[in-house]
Amino acid sequence: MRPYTAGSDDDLLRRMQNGDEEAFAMIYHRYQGGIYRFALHMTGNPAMAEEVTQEVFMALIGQPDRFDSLKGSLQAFLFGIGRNHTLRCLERERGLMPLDAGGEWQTHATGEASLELLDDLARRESVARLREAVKSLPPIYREVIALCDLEEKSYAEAAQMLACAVGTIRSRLHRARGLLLAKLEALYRAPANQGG
Amino acid sequence: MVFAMTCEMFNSIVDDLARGGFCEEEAEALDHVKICPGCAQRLAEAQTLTLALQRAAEAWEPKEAPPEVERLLLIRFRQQRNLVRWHRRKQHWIMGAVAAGIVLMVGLSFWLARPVPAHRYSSPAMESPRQPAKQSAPPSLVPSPAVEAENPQPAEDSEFLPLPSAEDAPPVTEEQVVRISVPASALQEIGFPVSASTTSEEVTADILIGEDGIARGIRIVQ
Ligand SMILES: [Zn+2]
Repeated sequence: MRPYTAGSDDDLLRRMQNGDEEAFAMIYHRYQGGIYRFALHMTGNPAMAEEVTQEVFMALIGQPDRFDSLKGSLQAFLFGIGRNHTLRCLERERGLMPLDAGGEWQTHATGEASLELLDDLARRESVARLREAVKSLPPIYREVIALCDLEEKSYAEAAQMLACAVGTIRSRLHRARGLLLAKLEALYRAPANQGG
Repeated sequence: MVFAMTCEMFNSIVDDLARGGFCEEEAEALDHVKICPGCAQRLAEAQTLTLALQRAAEAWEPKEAPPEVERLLLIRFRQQRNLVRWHRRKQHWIMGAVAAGIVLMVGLSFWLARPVPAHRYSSPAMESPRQPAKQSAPPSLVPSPAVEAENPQPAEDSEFLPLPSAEDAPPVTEEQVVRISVPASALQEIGFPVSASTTSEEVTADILIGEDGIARGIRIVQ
C-alpha cells in the first residue's frame, strides 16, 4: 500500500491539475469507496458499480476545471457525476423508468408489519431479501436508503450529495422506509402464498 | 406545561429515533410509546429495519472498486497529463513565434522605414556603420569600427548600436534582448556596410527592446 499524506481537497486538486499523480491517487482513495458502494447499492451489480466509479474519475481527469469549489464540495461534485451515471446505467438496463415512480407503490402503514416479518428481518438470512427489496424501490427512494441507511450519512450530508434540501431527504427517507417495509412484507408473504 | 405528543407527530420523527440521529422531541416520543401500543409497534418496526439495513450494508461485498479500476485510471491520468503538457508546449511555441514575429515586424519596419543619415548616431561608442570598411572589412558585414576595435568577435556583452526608430522614444527602465535573423541586405539598407556578394545571407543580431515594445538598439552576433 502506498503511503498517502493528508491534504485538503482543494490542495490535492490543484496538485492533480499540475500533473501530480499521487494527488490524484489520494483523491481517488478518499472517494472511490463511497461512490462504488452507492452505485452497487443502487444497481446491485458490481460491474456497473465499477463502470460508474471509473466514469466519475475519468471525468475528473478529463475536465477537472468543471469542479467549482464555490458551488459545493469535491465529494458532492464527484458524487453528482456518479449518481447521474448510475441512473443512466439503470435506465439502460431496465428501459426508461421514471425517477419518482413511487406514487404508484403501496406504502406501509404505521405499525402494520407483521411480527413474523420483524422476526425475519432480525435474522441474518434476511439480508438477501432486504437487498432485493432495496433494489426494487424506485431510484429516488433507493438512493436515500443507500445514503442514509446503508452508508449511514446524516440528512445534511445526503442533502449535499443529492443537491436538495434536508427536509426533502427526511420526507423522502420516511416514504422510502415505508415502501421498503411494504415490499419486504410482500416478499415475505410470497413464498407462503405460492406454497399454499 | 407538559408537551403532549400525538401519533401523527410521532410518526413524523420515528425514523429519526430509529436511526439514532438527533431528535429534539426524543423524551416526549419515548413517553408517548409507553401509552400508545401502535406507535410502540411502529418504533420497533423502524428500529428493526434500521438494524437489518446496517447488517445488509456490512455484508454487502465488495466495498470498494477493484484495484484494476485504479490501475486503468492512473494510466488514463498519465496519458491526459502528457496530452496537456504537449498542448502547453505547443502553445508556448506558437506564442513565442508570434511574439518574435511581432517584435521583428514592429521594430524592423520602423527602423527600415525611417532611415536616417549616418551622422545622427555618431556617439563615440556607436559609430555610424556607414563608415568605410577600410582594409579590414570582413566578407559580409562590418560592424562599427569602435565596436570592432573593442570586441572583434561581437558577443553577449558588446554594445548596441542605436536604432533610428528609438530616437524619439522615452528612456527605458526595463529592456529585453531578442535574438533574430535578418537578411544582410536589410542591414545594408540602414547603413551597415555589407559586401555585395553576401547581401542575400542571413545575419544573426540581438535587438534591444524597451518595455514599450520599441526597438532601441541592435548588435550583430554573427
Ligand atoms: Zn401513538
